[in-house]
Amino acid sequence: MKKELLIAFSVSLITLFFTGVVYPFLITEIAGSLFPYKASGSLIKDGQSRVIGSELLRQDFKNPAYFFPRPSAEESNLAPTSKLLVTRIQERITEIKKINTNPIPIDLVTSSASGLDPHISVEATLWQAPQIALHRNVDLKHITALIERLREDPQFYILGESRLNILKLNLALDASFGAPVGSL
Amino acid sequence: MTFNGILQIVLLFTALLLLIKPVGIYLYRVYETPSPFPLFNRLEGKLLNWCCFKPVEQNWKAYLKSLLIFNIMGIVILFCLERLQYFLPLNPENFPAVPWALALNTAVSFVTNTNWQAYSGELTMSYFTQMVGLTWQNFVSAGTGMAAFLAFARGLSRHANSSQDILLGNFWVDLLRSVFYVFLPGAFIMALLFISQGVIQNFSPSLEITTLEGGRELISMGPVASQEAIKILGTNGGGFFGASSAHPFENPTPFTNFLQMLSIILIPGALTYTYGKMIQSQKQGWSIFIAMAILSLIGIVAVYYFESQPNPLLHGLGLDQTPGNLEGKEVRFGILGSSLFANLTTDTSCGATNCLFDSFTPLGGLILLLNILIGEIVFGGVGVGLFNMLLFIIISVFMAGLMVGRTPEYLGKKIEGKEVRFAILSIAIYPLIILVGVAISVLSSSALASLHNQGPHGFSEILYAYTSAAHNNGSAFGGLNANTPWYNLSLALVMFIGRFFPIYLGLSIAGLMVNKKIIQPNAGTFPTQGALFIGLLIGVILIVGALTFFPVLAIGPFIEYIDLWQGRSF
Repeated sequence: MKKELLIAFSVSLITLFFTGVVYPFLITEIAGSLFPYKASGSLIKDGQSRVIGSELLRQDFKNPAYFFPRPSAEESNLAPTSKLLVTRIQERITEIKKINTNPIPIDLVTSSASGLDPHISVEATLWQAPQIALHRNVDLKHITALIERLREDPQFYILGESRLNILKLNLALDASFGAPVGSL
Repeated sequence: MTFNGILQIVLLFTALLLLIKPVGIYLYRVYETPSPFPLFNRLEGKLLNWCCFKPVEQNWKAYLKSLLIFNIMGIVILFCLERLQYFLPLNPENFPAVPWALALNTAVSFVTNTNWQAYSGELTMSYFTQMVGLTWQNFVSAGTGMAAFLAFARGLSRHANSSQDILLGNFWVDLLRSVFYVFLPGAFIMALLFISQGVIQNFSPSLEITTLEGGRELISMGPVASQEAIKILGTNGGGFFGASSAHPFENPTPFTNFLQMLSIILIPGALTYTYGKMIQSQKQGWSIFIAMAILSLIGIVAVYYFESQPNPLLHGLGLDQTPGNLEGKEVRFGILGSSLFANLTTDTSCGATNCLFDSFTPLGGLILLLNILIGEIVFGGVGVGLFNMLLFIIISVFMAGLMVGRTPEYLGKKIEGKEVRFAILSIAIYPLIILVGVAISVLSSSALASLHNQGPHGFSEILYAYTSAAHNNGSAFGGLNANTPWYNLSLALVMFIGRFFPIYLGLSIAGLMVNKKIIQPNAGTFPTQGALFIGLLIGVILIVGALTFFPVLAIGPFIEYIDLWQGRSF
């Protein structure tokens, strides 16, 4: 028994050292030299090299001249039969339905699993496009052209769904038409 | 359901089929003694020296003893690391010690390969705890699963014509080989692939940023990719972040999602080939694989169909619900990428999630529950999946024997009363620990206070928690607040029994079987390959595994389904 315990302890230490220390540090070193941008979070910086976000993470947009993302996940994990879910979605609909009279794409009123979903569907951007055109005072076709340019198709033509990254899209809006009035 | 969706399922299974043989052969070679790879031989000599032991063959009792001692010691070490994290390095957020009930629950959870998480990693665990404690156990708990399978398979495949052959191998050697030759190289490749797609890997403290609009947001950081890789490959499932594989830093693109799904089923699938080589019958290996694939595909198509349906409570609100039930799912994965992942993570004992199971449609959630309840034998967890499948095969062979009225045999060895009793007991333990846990919880008002959803779905939340813990899955109907003393302690106990009791029974069956004489097959022998066997096996799995739970499933998901279509909400 004593010998067994000693073996267990030394096997624990050896495996702990290699899998818990050597392996993660080695991966960090290699990642830092091969993929420094990705390994540190795909951070987007502005002109003064301040970090303004990660291209992988959702951020909030309230200004009507920007595309807005999916709702934050404050009330998530709700069942399809949840009263709270239905009211939460109804409230969201009331907030945004004045933007466009067409049916609202479902992703704009449902929260994502992570609460950090950086994307919305192509339909959801097209649905928001008229309002962006109005607030930016540009022709709708410029906005739809931008959507067409930035849309990400399924990876390798097959994996996942067509989508748009909100932060990239809004940065492209600013680059093409200037920052909206009233923003920083 | 879309054409592209179906195509992705076909692509995944094609990739799996192509990889089974090479990976299966590699796994077989890795566990051969002496190792056919000279490099491994030298490395192994060093490792054994450091760990100061001789690789002597063990009988089932010695093997089990080593396995239990190692795992209990793992719980103690992990518990201490969590309690001491405040005094340990790499804690940029200055997290305090993990509360003791949660620390115990988490220690048991990671050692049993469950990775049930009653916490959010980014708010609770230091980088040191995540890396040295949790990543480490991700590796060795997977290794323990492989070892259990190897011992069981040797018990069935070896025979007692020579006296040195009647033992089951050495636990420590099997464990070290699994960690160093299977999981470390695999995780290494996966981690780098993940990082190339955007999974993060750094030791920076979390970053507070000013958004484009001037808001403040916090970006969590950490050594994620190294843990992500083994979380998936070892069918562990414990996310670095609370959102697990839904978090864009853990699973940023559809390609990483595909890689994760493939990695979840890769080793469990390939083991059927390895097993075929061990018992010198590739046909039997493939038959097991086909039975698994059929059960898996039924679930996949069903969940994909149910999740593609709109929520009837949202009709008439002016919504375009064409894609389906997108609540709790990520746009980049879509309905298919979420349903497929959800199926595979419950088919196996992985339990990583890329969507919120709590928000699944009633019948979609029902299939996930069923996947776990039938014993996670559809590919299953690394090692233990096939381990449990072999128990089902013993029962199937026994039932076939009953039907024709002769003593059943498997691989030329007689299956007698004791083996059947043990096999049945290893399956019957689950209803006991699951249903007793659920029953006590629904009778206690403090346990009910943890519910996030009301009505039949609330019942499903509790049922899912005990199911997931008992079968060491680790996924959850995440609304349930499980970080209470009752849930932390009762679920820890359920995880422990659910992991080690069947391993004990399986190894004792192995100990009985290894010493049996080989009988030549004759006309009355029930073939354990081919369509008839596959059909019988699936039948036994569904009847013995699933039917037991029909009443509780009726109270939870079925009633919720009826409520949903009658427009009732809670």
